Amino acid sequence: MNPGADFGGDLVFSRVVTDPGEALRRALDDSLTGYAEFVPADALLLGEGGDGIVAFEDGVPVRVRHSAGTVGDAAVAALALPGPYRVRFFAVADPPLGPDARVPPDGLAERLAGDPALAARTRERAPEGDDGTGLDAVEAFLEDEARVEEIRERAREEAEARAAELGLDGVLDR
Amino acid sequence: MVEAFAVASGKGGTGKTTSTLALGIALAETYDVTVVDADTGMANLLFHAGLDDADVTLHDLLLEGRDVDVADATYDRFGLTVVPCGTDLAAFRDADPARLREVVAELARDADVILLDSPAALGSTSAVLPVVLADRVVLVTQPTVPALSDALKVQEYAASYGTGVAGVLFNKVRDGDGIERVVPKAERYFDGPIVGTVPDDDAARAARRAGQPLLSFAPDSPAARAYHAAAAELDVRRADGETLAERFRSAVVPEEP
Repeated sequence: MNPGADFGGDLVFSRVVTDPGEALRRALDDSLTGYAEFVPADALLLGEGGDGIVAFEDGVPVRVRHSAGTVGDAAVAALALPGPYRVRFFAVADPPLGPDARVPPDGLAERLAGDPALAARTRERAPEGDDGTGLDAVEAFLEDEARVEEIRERAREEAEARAAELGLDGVLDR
Repeated sequence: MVEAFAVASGKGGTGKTTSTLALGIALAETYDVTVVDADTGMANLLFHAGLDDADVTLHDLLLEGRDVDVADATYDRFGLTVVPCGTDLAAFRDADPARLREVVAELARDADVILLDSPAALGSTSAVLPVVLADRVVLVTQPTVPALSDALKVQEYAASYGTGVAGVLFNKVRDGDGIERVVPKAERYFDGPIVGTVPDDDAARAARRAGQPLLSFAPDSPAARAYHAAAAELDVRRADGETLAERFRSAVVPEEP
């Protein structure tokens, strides 16, 4: 399994880590820009459960995609498994993945590594505002009624589709 | 009287578990409160509550054929009844999330308020079940675009499943966040009131490291005071314990996908 092959770049490091925080710290300490493949043990050993791609800018994880098709926070949640992981980091000047895969800078440190100190350090490094955490970005979002309504609408559709998937139809009219 | 709240965020890192315990401890000054770690895939309430060594947890109650009473998995801590969940992945895989319904029905007999610390995702039966079963959700969010988007998502899921919004809590709020400008713009989108804004506080991280809930570890910290204020804003609705138990027993529970 080689999920990173499509994006090219030079291999910076390849390690099997029990604590994914090790790889995140290395990327942060070395201010790496590029992307990392996170392959959980189940995917590595059993070919099950899928793996993820994390784009880094200046050491900060900025976008995530899971091989199951999820992006952003959902992809981070899908990747959050007990270790070990094989992590391979490739340096590229223009890291892959689109804006829909955006994650908060501390998302992986919190969710994957469970390391608040690393999360704090990553937040400090993250440029203000371009990840949707700056006040201007938040205010612009909240003033954009159409965008908010679109999120709500999509969530309602998802909830209904998922209800059918999970056999929950009966609660929809509760 | 009993009301079950799912404390949910839709994303990780918002301080949901810290908030669940803090609201629980604050509400326990008025009510009999039971806190359940319903984040069965990524349980961490036990670490926050100093229950790392709990022998019996929610996992045992969710496993078929395990002869364990609900009472065996409840622990009296910090003025609360706490039902922690284990962190063993095999137990999570084998657990039947639908049994949560029975467990909560049983707990409802002795509680005024039940808080379900809910998973930070919506992608599976075990993840949506607390939101389906609860009377209302408490949304824990942060003043960021991703966190607000996810809170809105949870609200819509909850509404689709007939679960209302009891309140929205902004957590980990930092000085530069301009929260006083964010709140008025955010509140019109939520179906419940914004019950509080909790500052980002080192005391919360120190409490977590110490394995103690914030309100026990640093009761006078700014964050702890903000949680007290938020709990006071939550209107707990009266319902009969037996009625809730019955409703839980009869709730439609999803099949495993």
